[in-house]
Amino acid sequence: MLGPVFATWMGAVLTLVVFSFLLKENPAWRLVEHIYLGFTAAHAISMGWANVRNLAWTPITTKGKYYLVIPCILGLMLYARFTKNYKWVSRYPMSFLIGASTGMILKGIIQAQFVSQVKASMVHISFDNGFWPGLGNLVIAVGTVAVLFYFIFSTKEKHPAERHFRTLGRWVMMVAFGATFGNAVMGEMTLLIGRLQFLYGDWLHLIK
Amino acid sequence: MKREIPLVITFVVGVIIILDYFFKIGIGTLSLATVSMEIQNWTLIIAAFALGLAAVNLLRIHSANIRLKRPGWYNSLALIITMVIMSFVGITQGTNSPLYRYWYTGFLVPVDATIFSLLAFYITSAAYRAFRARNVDATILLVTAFVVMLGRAPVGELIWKDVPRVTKWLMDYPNMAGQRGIIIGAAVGALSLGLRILIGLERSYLGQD
Amino acid sequence: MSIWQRLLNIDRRIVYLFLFAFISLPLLVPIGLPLTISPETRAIYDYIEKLPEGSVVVVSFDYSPSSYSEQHPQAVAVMNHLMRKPGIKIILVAFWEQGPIMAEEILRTIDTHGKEYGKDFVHLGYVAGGETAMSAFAADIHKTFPVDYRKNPIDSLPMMADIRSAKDISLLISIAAGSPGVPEFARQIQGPYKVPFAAGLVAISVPITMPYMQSGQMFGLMAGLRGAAEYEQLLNMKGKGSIGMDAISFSHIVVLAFILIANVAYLANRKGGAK
Repeated sequence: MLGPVFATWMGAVLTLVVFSFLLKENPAWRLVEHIYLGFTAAHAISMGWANVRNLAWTPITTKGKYYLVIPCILGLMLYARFTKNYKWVSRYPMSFLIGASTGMILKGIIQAQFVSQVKASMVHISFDNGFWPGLGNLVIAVGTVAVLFYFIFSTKEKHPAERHFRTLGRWVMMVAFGATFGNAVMGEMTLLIGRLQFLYGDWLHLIK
Repeated sequence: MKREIPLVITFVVGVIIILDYFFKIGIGTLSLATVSMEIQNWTLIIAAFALGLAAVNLLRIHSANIRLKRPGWYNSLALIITMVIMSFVGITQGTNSPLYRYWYTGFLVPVDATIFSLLAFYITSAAYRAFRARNVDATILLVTAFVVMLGRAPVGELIWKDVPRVTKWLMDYPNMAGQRGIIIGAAVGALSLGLRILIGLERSYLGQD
Repeated sequence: MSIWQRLLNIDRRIVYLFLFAFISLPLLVPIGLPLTISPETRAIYDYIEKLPEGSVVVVSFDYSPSSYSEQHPQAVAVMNHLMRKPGIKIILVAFWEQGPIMAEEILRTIDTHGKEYGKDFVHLGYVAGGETAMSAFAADIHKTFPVDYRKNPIDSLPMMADIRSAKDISLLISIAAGSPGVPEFARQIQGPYKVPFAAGLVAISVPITMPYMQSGQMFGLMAGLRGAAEYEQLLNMKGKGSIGMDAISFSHIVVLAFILIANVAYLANRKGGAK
């Protein structure tokens, strides 16, 4: 193998090649992009194979669990989607996957994303613990309903109060989107900082 | 046969998983829980096979590029060679083998991390070009983002000592209320879509005949 | 072209250059700005500190190299804390296919403080299926992971003899970059099995996760690199999180400055136009 120094240099050159895309798309970037895609696909294949080996192949061959051949056949049937005449065959495993994931979501979502969330919105509105927490709880109770109102009653208003309440819902969402943007900036900056830490630290040894 | 059986499979598989969550039913050694667990196990196996779908798709597109000598065909060749070699290493030696790890951390990590780091440049440029206080909605968004950005950076506290508290209040109350409205709305949507899938009203996942 | 119009049309490459320079500077010449620890990060630290001996902690590596800079320091900090605590058993798992390599990278370099593989910690690796895989893992760990990531049969690992399902888990921490992540864990493990749940998150998904904190479905979270830096500070360790925080400050100043310039120029330009 080529050793850690080569890996660091390779990482540095690759980082610079990807950065070059900022100025202009170029042949070096395109080559790296294609190799990257090939590697990502290879990783999925390798992980998929390890799963098939552990969950199906080994139990079939060593423990005699022959019925596990059925999900394997279903898995292979997925690839019928690449044929012209037997595309429909892939619907069988697909329907199995969709049925399972739909069941999973339905069984969990009512409690985790509906009941728990609605319950948590029923907050005690009191200014005993200070003005800001009290105002905050008021915002939770009214703001959540206003956002839902904005989504669900998006038809033409019958009363001006409806328009005002929907506007309030939109404003609350604007705060949420603003907060998301503010956090997104930190996230994206971190990714760049990480690469510069690598270049200045691991590669050039400029960071003590 | 081509549509009806898949619809039945979706219904049966989905309903068994839901029933298992709410009821404990069993006859002898066979219980709803064991059937549900086996269904989940089968799903994992089918999902593992599905991980190769993207690779086959890439193989089809890029082998055509090479065959027809389309512009940049040599990039497609590099893609396929990498895919074949790394799949071979990953399958025969495992993804935890030194050889695989070496190329993963040496090649994939820097490229993947750097591609996403480009977003830092784009988000700065976008913030400068598009983030304007044009109306009330945009101003609320702008002010919130401004405060949160200050609050997330240690320097914010030096500029205004209360900024972490204001950021926390914004995150914990109005932001929370907005996001919760979105979560509950999405849950209602997912619930109705899920029910439509189970009873066969939503069939787009089956594709065209 | 007026000065305001010029300020509205700065070339993007100049914007890039400013950003590049302002991030490079504090990396090369660190300042060490003080950092306040958020209650959300402290909650995870305190919870782990109070765990009794014999507790089983699952750390789920649900991220990829794309968020490596943000989340790897979080994972490193949490793993360091767990390794330091005697008597704590750790299960590393992944529901993202790139997760196991991230986990192994930590295991290869971390001080295990005498903890042994198989006895005190195990790495189960990745299983496909997303949310279904989480549900299967919670119901029957041995069936979902018959073999660990290092190719040992799960039944040969002494630590796993009594750990069969989510009922045996004392704490679940996901280092989550997206989907499957927090909502899926809340649906399949935290909710049904009442497992205490915390997460290390990419900064962008922190706002959408706040409702899970307020409802008590989660008790703690680390917000991006800042969360990692805060955790490192609690552990008295200097990691990549702490090193990067000055650069976060400088980068935010650049973005805020450009937003300010653009808005002042926009308003002045509009006013000028109105005249």
